[in-house]
Order: sequence, then structure tokens, then C-alpha cells
Amino acid sequence: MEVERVISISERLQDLLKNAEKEADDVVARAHEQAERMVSEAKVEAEKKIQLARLGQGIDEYLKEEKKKVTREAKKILKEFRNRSETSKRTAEEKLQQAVELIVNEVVAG
Amino acid sequence: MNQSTVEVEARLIERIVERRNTLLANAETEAENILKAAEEEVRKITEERDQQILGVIGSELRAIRDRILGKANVEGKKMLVEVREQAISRGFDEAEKRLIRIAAGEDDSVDYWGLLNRLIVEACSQIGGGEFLISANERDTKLLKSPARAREVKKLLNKTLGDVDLVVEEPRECLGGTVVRNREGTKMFYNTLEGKLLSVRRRIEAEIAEVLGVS
Repeated sequence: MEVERVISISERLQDLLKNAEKEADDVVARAHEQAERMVSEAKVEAEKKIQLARLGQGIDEYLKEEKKKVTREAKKILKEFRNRSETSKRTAEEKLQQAVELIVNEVVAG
Repeated sequence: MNQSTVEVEARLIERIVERRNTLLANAETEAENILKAAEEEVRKITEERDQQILGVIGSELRAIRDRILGKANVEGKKMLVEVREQAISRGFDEAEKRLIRIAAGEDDSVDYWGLLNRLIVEACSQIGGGEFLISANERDTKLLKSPARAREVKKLLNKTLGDVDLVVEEPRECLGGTVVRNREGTKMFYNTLEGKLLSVRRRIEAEIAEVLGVS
């Protein structure tokens, strides 16, 4: 009686294990399917966007992004010019008397 | 059911459940790895797509770049040119103020009367002839009309140009210096301080910019 009971439990456990294996296989298979779908969709989407870009369509985002990037560069350039201007202003103020002397001498002596 | 049978059953159940859990956990890990790999591939595809699109629209991108950076460079250079112009003008404005003081006799570093004489001789020499009408600002006109000063100027002109006639005209608006013309009015020579200053500016503006550090 006890042996039969053990055998019965054993069979049920084997079923449980088989189900688990199947469930595991399903999880992996679903992942494969999802992965293939993701890659395939990305490829299709990429091809579509490239084709549209060749026709000059769907490129606004790229142009906008480039504009943002270049605008940042332009700000840096202007900042450098502003710094140079400020330095020049300071130097000119420091050298003002020297320049005035030179001009007056040229007028008076010339 | 004896104790040992129960223990066997329990161990069996425990082992199988553990194995089941391991199987499912491994499957989950494998699935995650598969999806991660797929995400990575999608990222590469997207990157490659963007590169290709950027290649296709390269001329538009260059146009944007040229327009924005070109504008920034023009603005920046304009800024520097303005600083240069302002600095040079300030230098010449200050020089003009100094010349006003010199002409008013308020600056001991320059012998203004000597300078005025030199400007008169220079102007007369340029015009040539023997009769000159000279004009200057109010202050200088008064000086030139005083007999002693007038003799001094005439002596100097005689020494340089020979015998000359000199008439001092009514005052004119100028910082200092003189305007000389011949009797017939066919020749006129402007030798005023502002005229000299203007001529100096044309001649040495670049040198002044250099001195001011704004060239």
C-alpha cells in the first residue's frame, strides 16, 4: 500500500517536472519570437525612414537635432568672441594714454 | 504510513520542486539575455539607420551648420570691430581734448605759439607767393593781431619766404592752427589742429590700434 502511494506521488512529480520543462521552453521560445519581432520591426522601420529621407521626408527631427547641436557650438563661439572683446576693451583702456601721447605728438610734430 | 516513507516522500517532493524552480529560473535568465541581445541589435540598427540618414541629408545639415556658425562668426567679428572702432575713437577724442588744452595754453608740455607759427609758415610755403590772408580761432586771432606777435610771425615768414604781406582775418571756428589763403583767393591751405588730427588719424590709425591692443 505504501509502495503504491510512493509510486503515485512519483508519477505526479514527474508530470510536474515535464510541465515545468515545457513552461521553460515556452518562456525561451516567446523571448525568441519577441526578439525576432523587435529586430525585424527595427529593420523595416529603418529601411522606411532611409527611403523617406531620400525623398526629403521625415528628416525634421534630424535637422532639429543638428540645429540644437550647432546652436550650442555657436553660443560657445560667441562667448569666446565676447571674452576677446572684453580683454581688448581692458587692454585699450590701459594703453589709452600711450595712444593719446602718440597721436598728439604726431599732430604737433607732423 | 511509517516515518521513513513520509521522509522519502518529502525529500522527493522537495527535490522535484527545486528542480522545477531551477528550470524556470534558467529559462527566465535565458529569455532576458535573448531580449537584451535583441535590444542591442535594435540599437545598432537604429544607429546605422541614423548614420545613413545623416549621410543622405548631409547637404541640409551642412547648410544649417554653415548658416548658424557663419552668423555667430560674423556677429563675433562685428563685436571685435566695434570694440576696435570705439577704442580708436576714444583715443582720438582724448587726443582732441588734449589739443584743445594745448591750444588754450593750458598744457606746458607744448609751446603752442611756436606750433602756430610753424603751421602758418608751412601753410604759406605751400601756397607760395607774397601776400597771405590768415585766419585762426578767436584766441589766436587776438594774439596774431597784437603788434609784437604780428612782427614775430612776419619776421619768421620773411626768413623763410622772403618779403611777404600778411593780413589777419576775422576769427573762424577751429580748435587751433590756421587757415591761409592768397590774396586772390585762388589757393587756400587748411592747417588747423582738427585738420592735422584727421590727417594723422588716416595715416596712423592702424598703428594706434596696435598700441591699444585692438588691431
